[in-house]
Formats: sequence, structure tokens, C-alpha cells
Amino acid sequence: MMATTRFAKAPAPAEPARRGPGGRQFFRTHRELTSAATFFVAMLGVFALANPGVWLRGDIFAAVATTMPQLMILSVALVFVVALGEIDLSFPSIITLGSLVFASAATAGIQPSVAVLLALLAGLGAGLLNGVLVAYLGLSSFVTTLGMNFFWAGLINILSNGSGKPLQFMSGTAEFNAFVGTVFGIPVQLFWGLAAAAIGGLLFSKHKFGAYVRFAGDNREAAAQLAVPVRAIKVASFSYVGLSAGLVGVIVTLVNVNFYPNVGAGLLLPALAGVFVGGTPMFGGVGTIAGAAIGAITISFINVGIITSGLSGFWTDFVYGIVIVLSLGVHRIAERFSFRPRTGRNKREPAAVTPAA
Amino acid sequence: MVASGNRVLELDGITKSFGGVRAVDGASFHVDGGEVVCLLGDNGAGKSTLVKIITGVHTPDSGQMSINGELIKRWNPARARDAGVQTVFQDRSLAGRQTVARNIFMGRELTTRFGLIDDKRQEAEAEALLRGVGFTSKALSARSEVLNLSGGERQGIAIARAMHFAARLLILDEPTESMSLTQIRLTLGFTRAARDRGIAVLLISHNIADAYAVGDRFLVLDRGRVLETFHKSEISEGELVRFMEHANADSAGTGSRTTSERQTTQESSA
Ligand SMILES: Nc1ncnc2c1ncn2[C@@H]1O[C@H](COP(=O)(O)OP(=O)(O)OP(=O)(O)O)[C@@H](O)[C@H]1O
Ligand SMILES: [Mg+2]
Repeated sequence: MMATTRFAKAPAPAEPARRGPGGRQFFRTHRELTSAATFFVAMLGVFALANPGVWLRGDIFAAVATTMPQLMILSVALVFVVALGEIDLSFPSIITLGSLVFASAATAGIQPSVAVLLALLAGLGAGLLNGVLVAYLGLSSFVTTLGMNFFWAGLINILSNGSGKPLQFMSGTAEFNAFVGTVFGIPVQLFWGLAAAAIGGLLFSKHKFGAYVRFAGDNREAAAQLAVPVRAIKVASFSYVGLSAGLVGVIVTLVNVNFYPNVGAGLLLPALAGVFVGGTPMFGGVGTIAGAAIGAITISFINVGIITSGLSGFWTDFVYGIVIVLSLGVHRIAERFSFRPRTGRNKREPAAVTPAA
Repeated sequence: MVASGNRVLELDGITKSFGGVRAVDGASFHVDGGEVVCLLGDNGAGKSTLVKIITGVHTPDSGQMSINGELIKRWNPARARDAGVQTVFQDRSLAGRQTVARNIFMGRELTTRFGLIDDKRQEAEAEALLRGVGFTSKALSARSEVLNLSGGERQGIAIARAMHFAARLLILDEPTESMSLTQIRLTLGFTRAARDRGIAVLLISHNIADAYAVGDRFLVLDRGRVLETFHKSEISEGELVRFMEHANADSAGTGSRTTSERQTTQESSA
């Protein structure tokens, strides 16, 4: 039924939908993505100026493609939690948990594909626990997941006695090739990363799940009034991060052909940075998966850029800091710019969405 | 047209407290299909709390509620929606950073064959809906972010959404607050149109003139309980205004009023 039928009596002046010109409309609806991409290109430009020749070499990109996909998988999933107005700080330990489950199962002689499945289930379960604690007990996600990060890290230390597990026997198996092999010289995990981004993007912008995440993150009360299952959506989002961390756990284990009891720890800040450099803001209701993918790529290129520019490794954190803060500035400018051409209105309404009762 | 005597909503002794505050205190009333019932009362009388109970946002502490003749056991917003209840809440239930179309279809998305949201169709229908309601302005399109719209435009969206989806019961909590005269006229027109389609309408307004223009019955809520019920034939607009003034003055004072006092009020104003 067309919407107008209910209002048959009302005057209906036929007027076409108002749209800006194609390019401007694209920029308006994808402004975070556009500014993230612009920022990335600018950063590459700076690195290229520092050492032009090296950026024509393929091995640079192959090196990035080995580690970047793990970040991409994480950043993409984290967008859902951040767009809900929550945060997950426990995924590093969930990665290690997935890694431990996978390594233990594989060394115990369990079929590797089953070991992969167990690792994914462990990640999903840990994420589900986060979600239940946050959604049903109403705990702060920041504190809860901070606590769970310690909890899992501690449990893993206790179980593994703080020592690693070599997994060289996995090298060259079907599972190894499926996750970290190469196809035409391209690391397979790149396809996993891109697939995760594609699935995440579809879920976030075209599926009810993503629509509910954004709506609930934007106005929780309105979501509840409109029968959006806010708690279930929260649980699902944290579970999604957990599952993704489990997958990353498997990939890093196979990349290293080793289990290390702190393997996930180093991914906390880069993965979160990918989300924010990609243009997803902290306040909830808004996010961009394509931006997060570009953010993860941006972060991954920093290391390479520093080395190729001839700087020492001591510069790494310094440059990370510059990149993160600068990128936020770029998003801010893009946001302001995108409001100016709006149909005849110069000012953004300062009022909140809900008028005072 | 639905035959009268078709009871859509019935409340019996509904009570709800927040901590020490008894927001609703044994409220009982009913709304039939094809009538507009106005809920009037002072600030804090419990009107919006009743709305949230009827829509499943709040669970009452005690009392019974029937919708479409069925006694409600476990109630929540999804069940209310599925029972044909649509509401314009006092806070309008809009998410500012989502588009107008996404706001209108939230929870009732139009999907493609693959189960994905059909934004094109949603935007086209939302566009048609907004034009149909007549709440048009330059900045308002189905793809606008709600945050950038004026207060009246936002209200128009919430009203269009509720009017469009209401099947059995339409609840309007202060729909005409801060609206232009044109918008008020349109809104009251749609309210009548909904009633004429047989929908039960529960209207809350501090503007007695607006309420009187469309209402068939008027319930005066005072500190969480229904103090009086008037049929339109029993009372003139002026009398209703004066009654409300007295009710408000009284509830700021001491105890509850009696029926004889009500008659005094009516007589003195006649
Ligand atoms: N969620 C809540 N928590 C605590 N107290 C509440 C809550 N909701 C309502 N109240 C209290 O219950 C009482 C009734 O509030 P309600 O919003 O129902 O009034 P109202 O009749 O809608 O008033 P108004 O005309 O100002 O909108 C008020 O005293 C209010 O402070
Ligand atoms: Mg109210």
C-alpha cells in the first residue's frame, strides 16, 4: 500500500524528491568515508615524498597485507559497538583466548577445522558474556570489558603457565592455506579482511541489525518506544566483536605458527584507532564500515611509512599520535563543510532532538 | 466504519509508582473504536506515564488492561505495535542522526527479497507520506537527518508515522504543542479522519480549545486518578476551560474534590 492512501483528503502537491547533485549528495551521506579516504591518500603522499622510489615496490604492500586484515576485521566489528554508544576493551584477550583454544585443540590432535570452529565459538561465547553483562545487568561497557580483558588474560596465563605452544606442524595444512596462505602472491588473510568488511558494511547500512544499532545508539529511549529490541541488539553487537576476535585469534596463531600468551595485547590501540581514524565518532548513532576499513589500512601503513622514510622505530608512537589527532581534525572540518550547502539553511539547529517535556 | 460499542482499550485500577512518587493511582477508563477521548490534567498528573503503560514501555504495579477485548498479561512495545497501537510520545521518539525515512519505518522496515532494507522504497513512501500530511518545507526531505529539522518538522514526522501505521488505537501525547496554526488544523483534521475510519484515539493536550475541537469525551486526570468524565454534550468549551482552571488550582492546594463540587463548578460557569 502506498503511504498516501491514508491521507487521501490532504492536498498533495506533486513535487519531486529534493536531492543535491550526485557528487555532493554522495559526500553528504558518506562524509566520514570521504574524509577518511582523503586523509589516507594525504598520508601516503607525505610518506611518498619522503622516499618516492620505495612505494613502487610490491613487497611493501605484501607486508602490509600480512598484518592489516586482522586490524580490519576488528575495526569493522568494533564500529557496531561504538555506534551503539558502547566500547569493547576486552577483544585483545579474546583474541588470545581464541588463539589458546585453537592451539590447544590442534596440539591435542583434534582436526584443525574443528579447532578453528572451537576458537570461533570461544570468541563468540566471550563476546556474548560481555553483551549479557552490559545489556541485562546494565553495567558500563567500558568498565566491564576492561575487567573482562584482565579476566581472560589472567585465566590464559594460569592455563598456559605463561608459556607458548609451537605449531610448526600446522604449516602447509589445508587450514593454514585457507587462512594465511598466498594466492598469486597475495596473502589470503587479505580476502578474509575484505570479506569481513563487505559483510559488516552490508549489515551496518542495509540490514535491520545495523539500522537498529544506529537507532539505539542515537536515541535509546526512542528505540525502546518503537519496539527495537535494544538489549538483544547490544548482546549481538558484543558477540559479533567476540566472534571477530576469535577469527583474528586463529589468523595470528597461524601467521606466527605459534601460540603466545599475550598475542592479542598489541592490537588494542591500533584496532580502536582504526575505528576513529575511519571517522566513526564516539557519541553513538553514527558509524562507517568503509571508513573503519580505510582506518585500519591507514594505521597499518604507518609502520611501513616510518621505515621507508628512514626514521627509526622510536618514531612509531609519535607518528601514530599525530595521525590519530590529525584525522579527527580532518573529520571535524569535513563535517562542518558538509553542512554548509544544505538546501538554503545555513545553520545547524542547536536544539536537541527531543523538546523539553 | 467500525460499529460503536467496540472497546479497543480498557484500563481498570492501573497504578504505577516511581520510587516514592505515585504517578498513576488507580486509573480506570476506556476508549472505543471511532471516538476521540481526551486526557486532560495538570503537569505531572500522570498522563504520559499512562501512555507508556498502554504502549508497554512501563509495566504497571497493579491493575488490569485489555486491548481489543483481550486481557493483557505480558505487554511490551512490540506487542502493542502488533496489536495496532501507534503513539506520538511527548518526546517524539526520533533519532536525530538517522534520516527521516529511517525514522518513519523504524521497527517496520520495508525489505527487499534478500531481507535488506529497501531504502529507495522507504524514501519514496516517506516522501509521499510527508507530502500527504502537508507538513512540507524546503529543508524537509526523506533523506534529511532529523537533527537538522525544526521542532515543528520533527513533530510532523512523528505524527505522520503514527497516523500512517495506526490500525486500532492512536495515542497522541501533546501533538499540537508548539505548532503553527496551519499545522494544528492539519493535525486535528487527521485526528478526526482517524476516528472516522473507526480508530480509537486517545488525545492528550493542555490546549483545551484543540482538545474540545476534536474530542468526544474528556477525562480529567488528577494526581494519577480519573477525577471526572464529560461527554461533549454535557459541557461547553468555556465550562471545560473553567473546570480545568479550578482543577489545577485545587490540586495545587489540599485534598480531592467531590461530585457536588463539580456541579458547583458547572453551575457557576453556566
Ligand atoms: N521514569 C520516571 N521516573 C521517575 N519519576 C517519573 C518517571 N516518569 C514520570 N515520573 C513522575 O511521575 C509523575 C507523572 O509524570 P507524567 O510524565 O506522567 O506527567 P504528565 O501528566 O505527562 O505531565 P505533563 O503534562 O507535564 O507532560 C511526575 O511527578 C513525574 O515526575
Ligand atoms: Mg506528559
